Amino acid sequence: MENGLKFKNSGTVIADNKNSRSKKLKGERKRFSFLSIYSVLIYMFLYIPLFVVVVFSFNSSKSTVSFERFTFSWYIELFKDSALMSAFLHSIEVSLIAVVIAIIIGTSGAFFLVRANFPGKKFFMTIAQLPYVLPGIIVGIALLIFFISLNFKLNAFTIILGHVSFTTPVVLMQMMSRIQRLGKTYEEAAQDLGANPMKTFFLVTLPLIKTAIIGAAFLAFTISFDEIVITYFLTGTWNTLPVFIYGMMRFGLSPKVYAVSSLVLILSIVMVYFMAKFTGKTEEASLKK
Amino acid sequence: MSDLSTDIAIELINVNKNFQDFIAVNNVNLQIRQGEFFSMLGPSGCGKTTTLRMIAGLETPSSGKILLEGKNVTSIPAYRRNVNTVFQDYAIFPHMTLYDNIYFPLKMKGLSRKDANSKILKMLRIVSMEGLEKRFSSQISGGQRQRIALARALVNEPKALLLDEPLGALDFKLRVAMQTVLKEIQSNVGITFVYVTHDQTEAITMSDRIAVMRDGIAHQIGSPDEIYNKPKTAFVASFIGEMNFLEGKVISVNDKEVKVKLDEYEVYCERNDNKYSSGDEVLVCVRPEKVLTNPIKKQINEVKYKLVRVVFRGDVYEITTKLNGNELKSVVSAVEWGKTHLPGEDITMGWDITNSIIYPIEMKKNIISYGE
Ligand SMILES: Nc1ncnc2c1ncn2[C@@H]1O[C@H](COP(=O)(O)OP(=O)(O)OP(=O)(O)O)[C@@H](O)[C@H]1O
Ligand SMILES: [Mg+2]
Repeated sequence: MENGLKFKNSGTVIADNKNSRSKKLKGERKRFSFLSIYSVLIYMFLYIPLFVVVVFSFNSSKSTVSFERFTFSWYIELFKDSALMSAFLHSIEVSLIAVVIAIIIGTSGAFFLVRANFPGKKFFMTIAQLPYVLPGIIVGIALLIFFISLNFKLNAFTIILGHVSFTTPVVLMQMMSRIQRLGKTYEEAAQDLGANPMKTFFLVTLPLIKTAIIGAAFLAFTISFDEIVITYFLTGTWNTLPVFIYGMMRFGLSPKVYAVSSLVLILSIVMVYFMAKFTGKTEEASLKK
Repeated sequence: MSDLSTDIAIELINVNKNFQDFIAVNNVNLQIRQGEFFSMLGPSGCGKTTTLRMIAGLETPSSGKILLEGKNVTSIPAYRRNVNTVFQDYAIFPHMTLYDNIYFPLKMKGLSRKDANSKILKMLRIVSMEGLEKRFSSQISGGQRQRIALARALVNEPKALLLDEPLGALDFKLRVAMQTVLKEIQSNVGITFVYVTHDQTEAITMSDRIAVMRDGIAHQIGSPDEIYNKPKTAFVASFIGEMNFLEGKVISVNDKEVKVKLDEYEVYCERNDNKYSSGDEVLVCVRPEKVLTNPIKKQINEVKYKLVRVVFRGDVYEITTKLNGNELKSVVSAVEWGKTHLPGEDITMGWDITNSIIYPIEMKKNIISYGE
């Protein structure tokens, strides 16, 4: 009899649950629709300006309000503008060199930070992140003061050093998580099987962290390529593309600015695509495909 | 010593390993013979892996010496030691095919792919993995990975093979199957195996000799028979198999046996290395399967204990009896146990002096009670 009672009780409990669940569902649906409107708005806010920029880069008139006729002429003009083209090449140059240096420093630093133990390690890791985390203005001013006090001339070299300073922490973080995940067993196995430290690195370690390095490089390149604040402080007469575009805007907005912005946008999207393809993917997983 | 050392593959002399102020391996002395299947057995954290890694050269001893075939290798790095390891998680290189994994150690020796081919194929045959060599580690099962790790470690014909719980990741059936495979491979290649496990059954069935470790200390090194039947410490006695521990007081000692008062009874134990004198509190130990219930023949050691519980185990009954604080278990075959006794009844339990082991009471704290 007691059993029966219990059963009955639990039965009502289940029914209660059902009721409340369906009520909750309705509420959730309402909230869900609110949420979707909300996110649509957010995305519109984020993407409509980009969309406008791309669309008006094909506008034949200089107006930013009405679209007259479709044209490629602004793009053609871009390629004719030698100052802009050289700024573009400068940017590529700065980013490539800075990324290569950042990869070397960041990756070796990551090995050190993951594998070595020393007092103040946590503190050091925080410090190492600063150039990336701090506002660009502060880093820019700091570097400027530093270079001036050393009597450095502001040129490509100082810009590259500036870019190394904030891309290295990015590489460092990416590589630290990969090396942490990698562990030491594969390298120990290699040494156990007769590989000296050099062979272990080139035949086992490097192939295993290769995709992470490529991913980190794409990420660092993307960040470096459109960096403006720090670069602005460190640039002399030698301009990078973002600084140059900023300069163009002093003469007012024009479809030419839109055109170059559209190109940078596309380049960034491509970079981010490759970055996403490589980071967070282990070699084990990529092999399975 | 010189004629002996040719027979010794691996020797550890007073080896210690500290991690900061933690002692992981405590003054271990080992001699592992050529071609021997040697196991290191002990509960988790007792220092088995650390000891193995020191033999491999992946860890440097804090003090002491490691000899391989009589040569001091203590400061020689792993890649120049002629011993190979099968790691617990196998560590098959994920960016190489299985074939290239087995080729790796040969490549390190400077062999070309062409010259190495026949050796690799032979190893694949030995571990029955022919035909799968083009695959990657992610495309095979755990048991197969284990075979590849074995092939890769053996292809260079090392002086010794070190295995760190190689079967730990496998399910029970596969484990038992792989135990046989391992044992067969070992007798075929004739290489010294140093095998780490915390599974006592595995150690006992596979090994020529076993080192039983705890807290970095090697408690006993001996054949499975010695370890099981003549455990040197209460820890070894409790860690391997089932054991009854009864508390008593020494009555008298002569050069062969110790007479102990166990409640109101007098029992005899064989003497061992520990010192006993009359009045000492001691532990008297006997394995359940060596305890006879209602023995037909009069036994040297006989006690009357109260029946507490009978557990049917299929082929045997496990009888638990008690008197005061002492609990005595016996394993009786299903045929012999007549079910004539009820709980609370007195039963005569008896055992022979050769099965009666004695330890000082201080060892009581070393008893491991989670048993099997
Ligand atoms: N690198 C290290 N740093 C600090 N302590 C360590 C290190 N390696 C091992 N230890 C400690 O040393 C002790 C022995 O470790 P070891 O790995 O040899 O145990 P084990 O017998 O192999 O155990 P298990 O059966 O769990 O694998 C453990 O207490 C462990 O925490
Ligand atoms: Mg271990």
